Amino acid sequence: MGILFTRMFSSVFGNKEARILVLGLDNAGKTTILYRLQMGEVVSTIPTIGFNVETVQYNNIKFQVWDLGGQTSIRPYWRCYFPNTQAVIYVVDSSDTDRIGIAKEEFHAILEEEELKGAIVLIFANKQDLPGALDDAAVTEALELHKIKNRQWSIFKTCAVKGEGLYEGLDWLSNTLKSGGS
Amino acid sequence: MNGKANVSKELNARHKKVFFIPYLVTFPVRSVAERICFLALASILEGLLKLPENRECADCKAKGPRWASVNLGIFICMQCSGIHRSLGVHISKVRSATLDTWLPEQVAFIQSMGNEKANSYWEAELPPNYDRVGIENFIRAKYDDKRWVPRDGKAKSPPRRQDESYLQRPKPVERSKHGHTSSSENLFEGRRNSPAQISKDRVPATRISIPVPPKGPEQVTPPKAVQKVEPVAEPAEAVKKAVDPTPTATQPKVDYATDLFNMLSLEGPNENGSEAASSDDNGWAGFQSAAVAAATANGEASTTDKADPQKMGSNNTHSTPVIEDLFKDEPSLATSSLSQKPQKDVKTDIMSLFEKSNMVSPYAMHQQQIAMLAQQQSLLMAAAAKSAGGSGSTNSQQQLALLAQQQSLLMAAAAKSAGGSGSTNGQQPGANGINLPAQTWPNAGYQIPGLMVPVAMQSDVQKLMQSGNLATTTQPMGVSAPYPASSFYSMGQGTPVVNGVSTTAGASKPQSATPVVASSNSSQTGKEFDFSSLTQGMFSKH
Repeated sequence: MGILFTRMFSSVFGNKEARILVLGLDNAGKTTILYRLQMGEVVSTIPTIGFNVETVQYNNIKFQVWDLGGQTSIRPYWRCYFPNTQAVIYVVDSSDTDRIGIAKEEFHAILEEEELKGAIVLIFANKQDLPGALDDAAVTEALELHKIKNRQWSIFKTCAVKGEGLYEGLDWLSNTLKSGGS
Repeated sequence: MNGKANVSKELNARHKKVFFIPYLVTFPVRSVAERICFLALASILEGLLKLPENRECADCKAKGPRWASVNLGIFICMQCSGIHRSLGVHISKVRSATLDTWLPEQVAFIQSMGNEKANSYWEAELPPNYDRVGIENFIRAKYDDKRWVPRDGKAKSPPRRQDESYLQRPKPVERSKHGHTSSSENLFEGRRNSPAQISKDRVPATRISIPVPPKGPEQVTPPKAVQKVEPVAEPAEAVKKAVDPTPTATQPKVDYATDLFNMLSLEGPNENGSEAASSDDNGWAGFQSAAVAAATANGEASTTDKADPQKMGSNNTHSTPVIEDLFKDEPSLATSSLSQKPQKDVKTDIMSLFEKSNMVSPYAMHQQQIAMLAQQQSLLMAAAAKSAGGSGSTNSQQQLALLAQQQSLLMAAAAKSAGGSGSTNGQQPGANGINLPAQTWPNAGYQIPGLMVPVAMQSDVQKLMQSGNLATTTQPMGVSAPYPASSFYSMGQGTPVVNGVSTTAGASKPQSATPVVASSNSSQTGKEFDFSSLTQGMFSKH
């Protein structure tokens, strides 16, 4: 009850909350992005087996960001976190061109999920600093983003270790959530 | 509680024994064939991880690495894997040996490379007592700056970086008679040493020692073995079969061995297997990993019965074409056309794969074969028994085995002189000398790693899931814990933990009432496999 009240209160006064999932193949940079957003610094990470969750306050929105492990065998568990998700941040290692096809498949599998029907999608074409990284247009092409229907989405070039592009993405996220989305 | 525990224990044992489906299902591989491939590759990997050189991290020397760089061909620990990941995929592509699916090419490469060989290149110029404090700098210097690679051109065959080659399709097949096996096989064969080739040519001769269905108590199998010989022309397999040089005559023997395995169902790792590799009796012998070699031998022999639908019901008699298929089909898998394989066949294969995984003991098989042989070839046996002395050494045994492969006359002679050598198994001394042909031995030895692996891996997963279920904060794999606010749980527990963990109150609601991920999974997606019951069994066991 108290929680409900708090929610109503905060929604009236513009302090929205949003549940965000950060998904993507292993080694896409999800954890690095999460902690870059949360702590503002680059941390050294190890593969996430399980998840990390942090709260990021930005533009009067309290993002509860879930960073889920991306290893092949734990991807099926992503779905456990789908309900009540307002937005998905899908992170792609732009330099991993070998696996961009797999990234595409996983991405479209996510979009198919009933529980994520209402979620907006933000794509981070990450690791732009690495040689051979695809730019946002190329990633858009590779992920076949033009096939997305009935959903708001956007893609940003990012470099998590330099912090580039992340907040632009969050800006889009917060604006979209405030305007149309939940 | 006790009763319950017992039941679940039993359940667990059964799952382990039969299919270890929980493990299987955890992986998002889509087709059945893919799953088989995955399992086979996983078992190879597990075998590789057991090699002494791969038992410590290639970079920091930590024990028991479970991660790998697939393009560098090394096994590394989790900490180092984090650093490797930060290098970028142009330098190192990190995969988990247990949590990721590998391509056959990747497995083949890491099999050919390994920590020792890789370090002989990357650390060629490394000062002997180099202090590896600050492992991140060390790794960057090692792979990014290439600081210690051989400089003077006397390079010891720089490891080939498989950067782009994963997606490439196989090189041309060398031997026409093995055309059906296509590239993946070649990858493995490339590493074969000449003995294997020789032994291959020896195959026909080896068949001499193939026992006709015995008269002993082990006789259960003969009828089925016979049944197998029926050739079925299955379109999908037609090409393969057409070029398959393996004579049908081999089938009885292989199946027989399989059955013996099943009957005895001993489980015990046999390290000897790898040594015996080079003398394996057929063209598949190239795999250094035991499981594959052994299972493949069986698989090849029974290619013809793959299409036989009856086989699906039949139990242990099925040999495993699976692994063979793995390598045959792998190319097409990568090009995502696996579906060409008839489903029923695949199923059959699966059955046999798992059944296979339960039967292990090479020794047992060996002994049984010996026993059979003895019963059959009473003449030889008698001759052997006559000779009292004889050397127990493997050397002489092998020599004798070679002889035995020639002709029955020679065989008899060999048996005579080998008489006492039966000491190894203490059974049918006379026959031992005869039946030790290099062929049976490797077959047996190879089986082990592959078999042990799945179980071990399953238990890993199990552990993972269990811990998730309990919502304990200790995560088996140990996740990056430096951040106090973050919580690490195994994915297994799914939503229930969500609430307990979330750092902001009220933001997330319980998404699902099901505490067991598995069940929510299956209900949500309607996937074809129902593993909820299995996982329940797992969860309740503790």
